[in-house]
Amino acid sequence: MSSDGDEVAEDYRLALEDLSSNMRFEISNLTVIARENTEHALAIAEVLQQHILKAPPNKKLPALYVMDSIVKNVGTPYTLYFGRTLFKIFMESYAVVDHGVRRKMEEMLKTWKDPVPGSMDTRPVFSHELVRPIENALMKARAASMPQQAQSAIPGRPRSAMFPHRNTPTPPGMRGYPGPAGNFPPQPHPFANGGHPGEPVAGYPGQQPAPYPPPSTLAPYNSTPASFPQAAQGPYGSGLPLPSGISVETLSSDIQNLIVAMRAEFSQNPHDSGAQSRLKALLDLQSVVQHSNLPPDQLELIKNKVTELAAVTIRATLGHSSANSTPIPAPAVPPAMALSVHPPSTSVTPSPVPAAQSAVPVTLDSLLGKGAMAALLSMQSSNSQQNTTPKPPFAGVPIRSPQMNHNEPPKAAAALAPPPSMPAAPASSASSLLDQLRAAGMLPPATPTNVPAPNQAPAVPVMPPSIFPSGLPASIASLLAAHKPDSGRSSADSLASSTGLDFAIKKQFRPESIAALYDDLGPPCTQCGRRFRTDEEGRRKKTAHMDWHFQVHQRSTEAEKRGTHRSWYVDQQDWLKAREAVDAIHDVSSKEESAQASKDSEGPKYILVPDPSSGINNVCPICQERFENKWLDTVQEWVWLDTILVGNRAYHASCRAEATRDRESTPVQSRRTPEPVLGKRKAETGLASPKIRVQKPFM
Amino acid sequence: MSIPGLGQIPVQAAVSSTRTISLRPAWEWRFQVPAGSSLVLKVLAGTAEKDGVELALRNAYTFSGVRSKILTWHGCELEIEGRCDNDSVAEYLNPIANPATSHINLHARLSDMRVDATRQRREGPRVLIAGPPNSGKTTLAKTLTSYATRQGYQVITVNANPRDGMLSLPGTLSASVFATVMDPEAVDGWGSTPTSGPSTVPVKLPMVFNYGWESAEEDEDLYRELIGRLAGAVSGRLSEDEEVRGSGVIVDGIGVSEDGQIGMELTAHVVDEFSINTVVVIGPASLHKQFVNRFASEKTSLGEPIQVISIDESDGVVKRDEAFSQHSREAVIKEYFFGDAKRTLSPQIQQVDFDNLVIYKLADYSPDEKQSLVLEEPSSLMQHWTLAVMNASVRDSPDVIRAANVMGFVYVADVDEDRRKIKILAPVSGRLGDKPLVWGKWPEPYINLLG
Repeated sequence: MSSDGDEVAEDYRLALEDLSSNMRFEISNLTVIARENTEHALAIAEVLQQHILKAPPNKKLPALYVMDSIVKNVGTPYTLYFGRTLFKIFMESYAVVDHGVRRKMEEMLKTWKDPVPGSMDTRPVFSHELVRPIENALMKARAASMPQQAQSAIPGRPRSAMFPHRNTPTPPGMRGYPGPAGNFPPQPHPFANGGHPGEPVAGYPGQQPAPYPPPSTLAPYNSTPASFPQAAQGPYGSGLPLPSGISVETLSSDIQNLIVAMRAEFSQNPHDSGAQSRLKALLDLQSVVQHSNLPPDQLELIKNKVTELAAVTIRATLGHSSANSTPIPAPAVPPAMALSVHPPSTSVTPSPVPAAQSAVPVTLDSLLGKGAMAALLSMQSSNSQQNTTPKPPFAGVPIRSPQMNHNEPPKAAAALAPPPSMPAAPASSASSLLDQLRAAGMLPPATPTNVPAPNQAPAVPVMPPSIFPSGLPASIASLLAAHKPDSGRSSADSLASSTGLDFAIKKQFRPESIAALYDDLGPPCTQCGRRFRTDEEGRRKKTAHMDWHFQVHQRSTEAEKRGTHRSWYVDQQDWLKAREAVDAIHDVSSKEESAQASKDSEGPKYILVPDPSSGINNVCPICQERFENKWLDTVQEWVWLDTILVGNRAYHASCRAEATRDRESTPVQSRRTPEPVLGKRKAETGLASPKIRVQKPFM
Repeated sequence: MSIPGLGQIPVQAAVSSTRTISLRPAWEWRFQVPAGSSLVLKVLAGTAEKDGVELALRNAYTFSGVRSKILTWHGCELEIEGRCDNDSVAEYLNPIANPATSHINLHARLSDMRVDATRQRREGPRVLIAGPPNSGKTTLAKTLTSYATRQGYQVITVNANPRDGMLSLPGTLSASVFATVMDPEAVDGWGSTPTSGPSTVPVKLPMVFNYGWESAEEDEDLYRELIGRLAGAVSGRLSEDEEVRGSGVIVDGIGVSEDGQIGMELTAHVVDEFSINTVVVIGPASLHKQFVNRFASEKTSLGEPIQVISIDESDGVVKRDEAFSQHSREAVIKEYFFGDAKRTLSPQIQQVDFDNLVIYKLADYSPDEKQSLVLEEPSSLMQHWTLAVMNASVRDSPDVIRAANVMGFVYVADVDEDRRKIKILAPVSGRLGDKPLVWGKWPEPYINLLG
């Protein structure tokens, strides 16, 4: 951990830039970092403020949640720093985000007027002097624009009514439990809304099917203060009740409460082994907390677990539910959530419950089996998923969410596909992958014959020839006149024909000319309206076109992270040489990647997927991304591509190359191999300091 | 709305003003969305097109700061959300009454010519669109270009009118091959140019020359020279690129006054340079006659006769007032540096010493002055102007520089004359010292981009 404020701030900034979603562990991670670097609080606060102000609209909310989390969990001095510009931060963000995000922001704002839940401190998160101007401005805006909605945001709701609202400020599955409020006892426990362990984060399929690291792989991380895998399990809001640091007293009293509740449950269900083991775990925990002097970060972890347990226990005691007979009580996913969550996630995610720590880690095979299941399920559940992926409801989201969602299908489909397709053709290329997806019904079919049907239906009746009675008789002569110059144009005397030409152009209506632009071209692409014929070639083109859409969606998130900029225009020479490549991507990165790929193909850098017991990390220590299991045809094995093993640690080859090259301070642009035909990009590569993934502070 | 802190948010977006509009075949829905507010449009059923670009069913299209129309050939149902200043449905008794029918017919004709040309591996039709200012020339050029791309042609479209840019800033002359679907939401109505990232609508690749004046008459020599350069490049591409050759060229011409006095000579120059064989005249019959008289006896450099086709001006054409035009030019400049709603771009701010930049200024036109570029020291007068970055060397002579391609533009954010520092916003990071910059007279500085 660096002691240099600038460095901390810079790292923090980079970490923020990578923050594209309301991921619980990312937010809590950033909170932990902020807590541990309070000596640089000013710099961090400044960086976060700048980030919130500058981030594109769809990234504002996660950043705001980080701020929210920091002020609630760390408190001073951050509260002071953010307070100074709170109005600006909030209102400027509010002005540019879409409606859904605004609502979330309003809900967050409400929580700022109250004390941090569970805290001894009765002061509100932000003082009323800071929050009120924002509320006033919002009310004014609302009064001006939507009087009907004004009442929904009247400040000063009774505290009890606020309770369910406390769950909402963070996105579903984050902190709270979006189920009916009745699920919770209204009174007893400050942790009651502390969130469920591993509550599936909607829209994060990529996260869920993967097992949490087995305990053995945690070992290397325990030395780091952030202990991120565990932090990942901790619900983002779980740290809430601890405004500044974690006090042993509150923690142990919380544990005591839990033990009482657990005893009660145990007495009712003496044969419930789950309750028994939990009770034992709690008693152990209590003794550990009380008798040893633990550093704050470990306390934090314990607290997270307590919170998780609390949520489970309270629910269980309340419902006397027999569902607890399973050792790992899976939080019941409320129906609303179940819709947005991928089927397998509910079955896999409960693993992080403490009791599950002893459980056998989910193996690769069972995991993929589940992924395959997901593919089948989603196939059956008609096209609900496929419809939502390409065009998500919010204008701000489309860049991001498709990728998230697409992450899952390929994996699932790959699991499905290999047996049938392997003998025939290598399944590695993107297009064949798409084909498989299509075959699995997870992408729109290449020829959506069902799609145009609805729009053609109305079209037919409204176009009877009788609408154009005047045009038709006249058109025969003029048709001839019009066609004559066409066929024998070279000898045409333009003046003589120009009257006939004028007539043909102005006074004639030829439905076939319109058909030539519509129906003759085949049904349109649902995403951009471009039409494709249904013949062999049309289908081929459409496939390429859909691949293009797919790739663009996929790249967009990545590109956003990097930050894109306008390229220079091409010069005449390049323009003359350029050829329009329909459905190819004009993108430096794609070229880079393909160059990279071709380099890799010389000697692909991969390692076989290690045995979970081998203790090899399954998250790249540099970029913190999980290694992806890929089936490599050539070796007939599951592998991690672009991965190298250094000692007993796995790294992404590219990450490591960048990191080490950085250390050797060789010019970075050497990686950006061949310059594309397009664009004079020499200037930019020469100077741009391509964002190098700096190791994040929690490393 | 002046609510503290809310800035220029389109507050009315929150009003649930969703409504649907049903159009019968060949009807149009005309709308005006002021800058700063936006309108979301969805085609619920049927087919609809905007400037020849077919809109996909049930996709949300957002428009801001436009005056345009949605046309349907099969009837359609539109869902509209948001506020527009002024909108109306243009009803026509039959399709012939709608001038858009003549656009379709014109396209069908060009399409026939393209088929012939492709078969014979000759150049396809070279079309010039001429007409008075604000008569819908650019709209027709867009429509014809889009129709061609929809049928799979790769047509070269040329903007010969410096007043507004095509895929570039105002004040430029540019050409681009259009092979892919056009972006109906683009701020300039054409599309967007390459960035370092992907784009949800395929980008177009323009070749750009910097003219730097609002109208072609202001520096006729430079205009003729640049049109010559542009035409040379276009014919080079036509001969090298088979896909493009048969599709031909569409030139969006300069405004010609209704009596044909102003602009006719320069238009004739364009016709000559691009070997135009089809001149489309929008507007009054008198103007058509002027063109027929002017070109009937001429032949293109390929020996073909020049056809002059008359098209009626659509009654839906709105006279753009200066404020609106200014706003759209501003939006184009903003989009160049910062991207649009779909894609955020991050330009670079740099502080540069005066001595590290070579800036030329377009000299005020005078017939006896040969030199049209003069070296200029940065000054506070340059603030908020955009300067063209020329693809030439600082050691090249002014004559070479002024006819060079444009690489891009920088925006002068601040000039500190005391410290001899200039703060500029560039699309791409990097030193600019080895490329000459040209300070034109158009587009004029309206906005503080960084404010």
